[in-house]
Amino acid sequence: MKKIALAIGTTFALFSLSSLATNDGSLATGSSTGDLDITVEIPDLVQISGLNNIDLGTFSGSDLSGEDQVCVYRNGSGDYEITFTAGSNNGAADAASGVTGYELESSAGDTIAYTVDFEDSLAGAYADTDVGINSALAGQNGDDADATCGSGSNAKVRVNVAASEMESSPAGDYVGTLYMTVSPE
Amino acid sequence: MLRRLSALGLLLFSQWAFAFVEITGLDDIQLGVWSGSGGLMGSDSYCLVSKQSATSTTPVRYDVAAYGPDDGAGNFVLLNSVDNSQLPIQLTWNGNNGSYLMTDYNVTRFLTPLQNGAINCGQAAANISITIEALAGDLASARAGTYSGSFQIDALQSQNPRRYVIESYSVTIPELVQISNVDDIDLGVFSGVSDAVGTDRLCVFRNGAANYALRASGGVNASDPFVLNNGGNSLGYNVSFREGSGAFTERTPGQLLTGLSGSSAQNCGGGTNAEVQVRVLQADMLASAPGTYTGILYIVAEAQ
Repeated sequence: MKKIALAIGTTFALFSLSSLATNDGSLATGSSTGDLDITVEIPDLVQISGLNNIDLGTFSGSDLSGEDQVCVYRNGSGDYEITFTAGSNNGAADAASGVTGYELESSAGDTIAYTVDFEDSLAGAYADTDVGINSALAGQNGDDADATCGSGSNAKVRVNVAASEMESSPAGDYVGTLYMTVSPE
Repeated sequence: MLRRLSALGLLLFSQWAFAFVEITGLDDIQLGVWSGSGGLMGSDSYCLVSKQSATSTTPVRYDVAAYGPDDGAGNFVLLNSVDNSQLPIQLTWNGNNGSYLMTDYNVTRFLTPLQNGAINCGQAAANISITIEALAGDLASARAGTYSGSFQIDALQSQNPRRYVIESYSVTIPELVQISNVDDIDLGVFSGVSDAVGTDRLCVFRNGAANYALRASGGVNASDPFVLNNGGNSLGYNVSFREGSGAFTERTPGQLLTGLSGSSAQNCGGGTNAEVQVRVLQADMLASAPGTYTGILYIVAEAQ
């Protein structure tokens, strides 16, 4: 059995604030009016959520694929980009993302390569297939109103392992970690 | 603020044929309308002749006692025309032998030291004045209204009184209110995970520590909505008030929060007595485009 876990990343952009003026009210009969300025800064925000592990099941001689639907929030009308990195750790989840390649690894240290596809919608076909590791996919559209997409999803990721990779590998459980980092454009 | 005295009335009672006391040139005292800052003070000069008889050229020394409404301890006050609440005043009698803060003789038995008599108004010893002062703190603490009082001053020649009634020291205190200590509220940078909340502590002065109400709007009109703007984008916010450190009460534009107690000290003596809270909801910010959103919040304190 081979499993892939997914992780999230967020990026913020900050701006400096300016100081404005206030006015105390004057001493007066009846009423007195003061005014103050209110300022709030909304930075470029992005968030990926709704991630679940992908269990590719048991190899039975055919290619294996697994998909996870996720939510990517991006405030305003701007796009986001997504970058994939990966890690493997002798059949266990890996806390360190790497850029050497998409690999699943067994406890014996044997590895199987996999590929990654991404699509920034649920209904559409995968526009980005065989995505290069640590290579940003720009021009993605996120949900600009709800950080959790209304508890739903608006994007999907798919991992694929070719039968030829598994046929040449020793039996065992192969595990890897796929990291997805989204950033505002 | 110095107020000129005007029109001090005088009644003269001559009770002893062998003595002569005459006061001329007195005017009524109107301290006027308090503007809300500083104290009120006025003085009036007059002539006091004291001699053995109307035709005498021999001056006679005298001392002075004063009578009038007091606070129970002999300190003079003016009385509110509606509820008889008190406004402390200081009555200073400026004679030719010194100035004296007068108190009610009926309570304190205070007499000035002997003053030199004068045989006519041309003599320096005849030049007398009275000063009335209401202190700023007392004016601020007093409830709005018109305060007045009638006071009597006795000039005593060898214990033989000559009584002069001075009428109508008065002052009017309008319903005053002032909001101060207003500062900008910087909600900072939206974290993405919670509402943006900011507060500003305020001072609301209300003379007599009377009640007031607060309302707010996002523009000069009372019902202008609470909106921050960033170019063509807008972002709503909520406004709440509280008195002291109590619970915040949310208000819509123009909606009054009533029954608040004002401070009788302008600028609250350097402190505060109310607070405004501004809240921008997380969901609203998540649904808004990035950028800096600003707006002006108008806060109105109304006398009640």
